[in-house]
Amino acid sequence: MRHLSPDLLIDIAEGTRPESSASHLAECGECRRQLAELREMMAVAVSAEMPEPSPLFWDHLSARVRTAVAEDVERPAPWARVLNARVLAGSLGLIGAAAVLAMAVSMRTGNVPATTVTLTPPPLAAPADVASDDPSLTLLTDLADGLDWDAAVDDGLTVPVGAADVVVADLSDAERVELRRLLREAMSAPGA
Amino acid sequence: MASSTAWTLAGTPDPAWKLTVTGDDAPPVADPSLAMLSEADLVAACLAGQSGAFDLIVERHRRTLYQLCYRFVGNHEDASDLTQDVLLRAYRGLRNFKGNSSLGTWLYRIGVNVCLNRVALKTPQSEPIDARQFIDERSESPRERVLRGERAVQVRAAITQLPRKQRAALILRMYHDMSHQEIADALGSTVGAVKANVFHALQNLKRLLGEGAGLA
Repeated sequence: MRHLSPDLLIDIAEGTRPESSASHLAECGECRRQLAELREMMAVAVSAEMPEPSPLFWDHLSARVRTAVAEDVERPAPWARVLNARVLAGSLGLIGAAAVLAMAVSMRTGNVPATTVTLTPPPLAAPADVASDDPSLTLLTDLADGLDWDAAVDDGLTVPVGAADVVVADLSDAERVELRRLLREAMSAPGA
Repeated sequence: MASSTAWTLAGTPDPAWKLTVTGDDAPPVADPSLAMLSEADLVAACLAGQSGAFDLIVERHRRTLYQLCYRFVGNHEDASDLTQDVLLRAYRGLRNFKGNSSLGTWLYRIGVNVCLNRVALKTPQSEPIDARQFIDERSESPRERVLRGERAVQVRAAITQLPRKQRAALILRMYHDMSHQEIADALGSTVGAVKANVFHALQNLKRLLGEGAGLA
């Protein structure tokens, strides 16, 4: 014997479907028991009133929200939150690596630019070291002080997981060969 | 600069009593014309930076959002913190409100997400005994009043022990009169899953309250 599904029992218990629509109920004591229990617990749940806070609470809550909103408005812009030294250092490294890769590919395919610019990725350094080298970075780290990676992720300002895979998938055969060579070179370097 | 604006508490039960609060945190006087705006226009006014627009949104929805949060966590302190968090997140994300649903439903959605996230991180506190003191029970005998209050505390505490999705579905269905479809939208679920969650929530509620407790 097939019992009534939870969907059907909920519909009948809530009254959106009549009992008569499920003839099984008349012949199944187990389903009748479940239906009675559902109705009983619905009544129990509904009867559990909530304590009413003090009438003064609502305006206090509004004042708290107003203050929180005002503080939120005064916070640095989201772009500044992302620019903490750790992210900056990593980003500079990636940008540098990408530039070197692009240069190398261009040279191999003969598309040498008229002006040659050599961009060397900076070594990854501790945030304090990065900031101490450049006054503008000190300003950025001050702005981003106290902000964390999770906040940046929440704001959608980070690179999505898998983005690097997408970039690599778009490379041509020649670019992939060059990337492989550069990676091997980097991994075999002293201290890698 | 300290404001000396005096304001009268709305909804004071006895008109003979007039409560006037004067202080530095007196709310700004909102433009009365804001009250005439539709939800969409009120949101637009808020995004345009019109003073008092978001205050009005808060005033209209704070109670239901607090009740939602209270049912989730079962105590006043956490519920008030959560409500503030919900409203702050709503303010931050107001540009994302497209008007496809009512502002209330959109706020519920934020509220449910905030509550589900908080519930995942924190074990609910037990409800203080004096939490029952504000229920209007004047038509009952003292004994009935005490028993009903104790039952309500037990049920609320049991609800906070339910698994997150079951708790969300039960609260939205039982206390906020949302349809199964609205709940499914708010939870990113399906109508069938919502009904199943309500079904299992009620079964678990019975188990938590104990067989034969005679609470109905």
